[in-house]
Amino acid sequence: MNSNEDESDNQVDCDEDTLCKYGSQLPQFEIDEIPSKKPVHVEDMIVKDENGRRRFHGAFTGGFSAGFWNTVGSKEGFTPSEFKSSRNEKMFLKQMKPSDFMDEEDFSEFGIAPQKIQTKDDFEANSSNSNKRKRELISDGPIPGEPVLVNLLKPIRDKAAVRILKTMGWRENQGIGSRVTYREKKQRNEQNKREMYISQKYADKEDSEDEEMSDDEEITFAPDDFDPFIAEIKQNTFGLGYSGLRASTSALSTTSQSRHVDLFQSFQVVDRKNRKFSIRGQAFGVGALEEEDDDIYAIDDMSNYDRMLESEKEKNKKPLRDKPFDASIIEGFVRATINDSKIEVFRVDVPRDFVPRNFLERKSRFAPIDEIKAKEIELQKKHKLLGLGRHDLKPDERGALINESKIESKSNIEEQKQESARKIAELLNSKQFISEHSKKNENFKPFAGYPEKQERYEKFLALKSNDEKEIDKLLNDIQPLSMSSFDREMEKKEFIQAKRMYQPLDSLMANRFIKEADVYKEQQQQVQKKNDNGKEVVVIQRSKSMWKPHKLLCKLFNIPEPYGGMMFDEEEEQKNKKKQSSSSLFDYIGVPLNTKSNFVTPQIIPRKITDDNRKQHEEEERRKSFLNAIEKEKSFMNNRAAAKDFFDTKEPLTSRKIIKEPEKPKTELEIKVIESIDKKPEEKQDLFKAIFCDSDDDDDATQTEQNESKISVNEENSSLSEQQKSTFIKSFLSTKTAGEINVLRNASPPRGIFKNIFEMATTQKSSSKEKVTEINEEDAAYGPALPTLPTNISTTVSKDNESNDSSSSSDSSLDEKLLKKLKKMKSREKWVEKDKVHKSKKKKKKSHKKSSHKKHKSKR
Amino acid sequence: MNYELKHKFDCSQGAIRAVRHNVDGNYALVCGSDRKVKLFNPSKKLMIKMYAGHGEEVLDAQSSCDSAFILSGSADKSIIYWDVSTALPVRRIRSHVAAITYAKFNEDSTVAISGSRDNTVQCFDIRSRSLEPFQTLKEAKDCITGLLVTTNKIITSSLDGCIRHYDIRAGELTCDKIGISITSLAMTSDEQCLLASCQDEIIRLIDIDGGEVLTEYKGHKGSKDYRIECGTTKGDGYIMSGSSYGQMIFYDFLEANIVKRLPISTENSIITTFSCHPTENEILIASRREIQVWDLSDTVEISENED
Repeated sequence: MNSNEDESDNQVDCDEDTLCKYGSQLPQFEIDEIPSKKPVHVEDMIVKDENGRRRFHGAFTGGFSAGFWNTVGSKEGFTPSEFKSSRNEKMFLKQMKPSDFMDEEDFSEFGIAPQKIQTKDDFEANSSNSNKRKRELISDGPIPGEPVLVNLLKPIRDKAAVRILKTMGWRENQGIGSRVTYREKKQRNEQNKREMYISQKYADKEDSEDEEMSDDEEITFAPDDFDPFIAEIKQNTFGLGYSGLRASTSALSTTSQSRHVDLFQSFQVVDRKNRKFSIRGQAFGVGALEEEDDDIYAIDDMSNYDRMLESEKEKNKKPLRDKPFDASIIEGFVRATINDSKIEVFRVDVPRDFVPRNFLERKSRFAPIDEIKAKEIELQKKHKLLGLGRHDLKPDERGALINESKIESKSNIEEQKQESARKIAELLNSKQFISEHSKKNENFKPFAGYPEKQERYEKFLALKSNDEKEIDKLLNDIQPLSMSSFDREMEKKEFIQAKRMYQPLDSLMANRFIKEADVYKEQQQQVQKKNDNGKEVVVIQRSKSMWKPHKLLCKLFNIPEPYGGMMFDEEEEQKNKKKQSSSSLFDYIGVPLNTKSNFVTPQIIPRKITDDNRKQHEEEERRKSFLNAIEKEKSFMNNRAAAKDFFDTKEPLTSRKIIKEPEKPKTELEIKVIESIDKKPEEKQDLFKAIFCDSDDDDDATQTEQNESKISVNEENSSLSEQQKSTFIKSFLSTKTAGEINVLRNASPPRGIFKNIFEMATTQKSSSKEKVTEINEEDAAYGPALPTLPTNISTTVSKDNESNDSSSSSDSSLDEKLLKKLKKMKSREKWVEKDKVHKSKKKKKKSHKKSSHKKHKSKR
Repeated sequence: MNYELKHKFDCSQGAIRAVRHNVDGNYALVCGSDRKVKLFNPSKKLMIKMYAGHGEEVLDAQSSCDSAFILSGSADKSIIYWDVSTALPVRRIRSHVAAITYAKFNEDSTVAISGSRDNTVQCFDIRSRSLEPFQTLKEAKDCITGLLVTTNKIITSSLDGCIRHYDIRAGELTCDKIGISITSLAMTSDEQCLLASCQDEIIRLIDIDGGEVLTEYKGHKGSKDYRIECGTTKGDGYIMSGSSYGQMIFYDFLEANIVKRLPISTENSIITTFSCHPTENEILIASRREIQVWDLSDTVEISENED
């Protein structure tokens, strides 16, 4: 038994280890607690939602409940949605959907409207209703636009091949093949474009798609879908890539870059800001009461156009599409049946002996001219014979003009020559010649239309006076009494104008040049004055100019505006000056030449005169040859030399070369300059003395000039400085008048327009003298009783005196030298160029200004 | 001629830069280097009003024809148009770029004309609110050292040695170049001649119409270094000039010789400015800080006798 019990004990132990417990263990009761015997009933078990709200109430207590007690309200009551609109969040009307009134549980997996994420139908299937861009499909058939049958016979399911492709990742409108990078795609595209020049528009469309895509290698794209390129054999004679106007291309090609002019597409117009906008629609609208016509152009086809004079039947018989593609026929045209290419040539039967010739021309040089032609030529030459063409004069006529007795024809030519030379010389000496000849050659008749007026003009010319009073007197005597005073005045002006117009050179020259002798005289007078006083005399230089007072200034000063406020402004004046500076012949016609401002007082330019008398002879000879050129140089220097240029433009300007000619023997100054080229500036004092005529003054002005000359000498090693050149020119010119020096000079008296040059010159001179005296008189006639002037006060007018305090002492020493030279030269006259004088004057002014500034500064 | 010092008074406004009578001569404007203008009654030695507002010493002043306004120009480049009674600036014009040497009214005080060291003369419509000149005369090449305004002319003198007559009536600018810097300009009472005190210490009497030097007055010293005013006594009997050694120099108009060296100051101070009474024989002479009132009782008689 024991053994059995042991065994059984062993078994119990084993059972406890390997015991499997099923079911849930009953809760362990506390000793004191008595468990309730009432089981929990089903109806007591309340179902609550995740928010702890009770939804199911049981059939008797209401069943299902939603919202707040099956209402859309809440515990607080129904609150309709508020109208709320702010600037940032605009209120917009919301279309309510059933889902707006549903609880979230309803959308859950087990709700009444479960929601889940699904693949869209059109994503996998044929996306016909997708928003994706559709490939353009153009039918060449009778119904343009999208092929009709495609829509009608749309398969419900894709073909098996398409389905397979789609599963492999292919999408519609994509090409087939491995994915490529953007660059590769572009390359392919272009390649395709090149190939597919026939279907240009496809390529274009693809091309315009995305230009700004970056060249990212990682981003790959599906290849484009291209139609396979089928090489067509070229059968026409068009240019490469050109296909004629085709029905398909004109109608619905949306490509803006299509080759053909597309009349029915919206215009692409670029506006000012380079923005594109299009113009659409019909040009002429349809009124409200009108009925719109059938828009035959809206859907365009080449079939809308009648291009053949054929019946419709025939047209239908041979639709364009069906026509075999023939290279020799341009599309839309029909081969002509009748060939009319023959050009008929009409021929005239010409007689065999016909020789073509121009009847107005002579056959040969010696043949007589055609009569009509001869008359014409005569007419043309007539003016020459009458007027200007004095070279056309026959010897007899010429002889008659110069009071020549008729020379018998002599066999001995030499004798004849001598004779004529003698006679010419005689004539040249006689002064009578001038007047007579000039009278006879009076060709210029500005008032030829009015013989009386012309007569008066000639009388006016004969007066040869610039004095207004005299002119007035003369004209008053001549002019008929019936003339009004205005006409008289006008005529006077006309005459003066005409005179000036005809003798521009003359007055020009008189204005530009002043006799050196006069200048010396003036200078002499000044020197004397200075010597008398022992001190310089301050002479006021008065200059007057126009000044426009502002109109307000006039108003506030209670003064009427001068010239009625018609004065030029300063700016305008400057503009006018600029305009005037452009030299033209016509400037001389209107602008008086001898205005006060024009007349600038001359000044002596010191020059070195060689003492050797024997040198003079050589120089004279040289001068003869150079004189003409130098004169011209002078005239060119004048900025208003246009008139002169106008009259002799034949000879080129060569004076500069001539001056620099090497063969010329050197003057003292020149030798000095050349010697001193290599010297240091300190050693060049002799040279400077020679140049500046030993001015010992330590004046600022002269010093600066010296410095300048130093620089110039250093710089121009071989050539002479400008100043020296000018002195050379003057030395050439100094001793004799042009007529004396130059034998070659045309000594015949001036004719025609040149006639009055010398007369003018003399009158000019006299008038200038008169001016001076007049001014003196005015000075004497000064208003209030003035004290007798002390002797040191000059009565000359400012412009006669150029010397300033700064340069006066140097001038005086200079003047003495010049006087000495003058004595040697006695009566010889020299012409000083005015322009240069003016320049030197400016220089002086500048130097003076500097000095005055300095003084002023020191004062401060 | 009888020179009598009536009285003198200290203006206590630094060195006196300019003394100017008003139109009727009852009052005097004194411009000081302490940036103030003072209105005096010189006969009573009474300071009436002080006009303070300039930033630098005042160089010239003038009262309007109705004595209601004062125009003053200063070295601070500004012109001030003062109201006399309130002593407040009505307008302050700053269009010049350098010190203003002269500020003048026209005859009826509608235009203010100012000469400056910026070489320009500017004309302002002083009654309008505009602070810009309606006309600028830029012809001068150097500082304006003298400015005279007559009924139809503006006459300026400059350190460039030119006297310029801007004739408004004729629309003409006449430039008389003397060639020597002019330091002061005055006009004779008959408006026929100008007195130009030049830097070479010569006063030149210049005929306005003819533009020539009639007489030269030599003898005073100081205009080489100082801006010394010149002028004529009443009736143009004598030419007056200040000097750098405390004397007032009187020249005879015709003889051009020195008639009197009137000692003003014992300290050899510089006499730069003075003012003649427009109707009486009274002269205000400024030396340093004080103003002396002199009476030249019988100048007129003498001048008449000579004439």
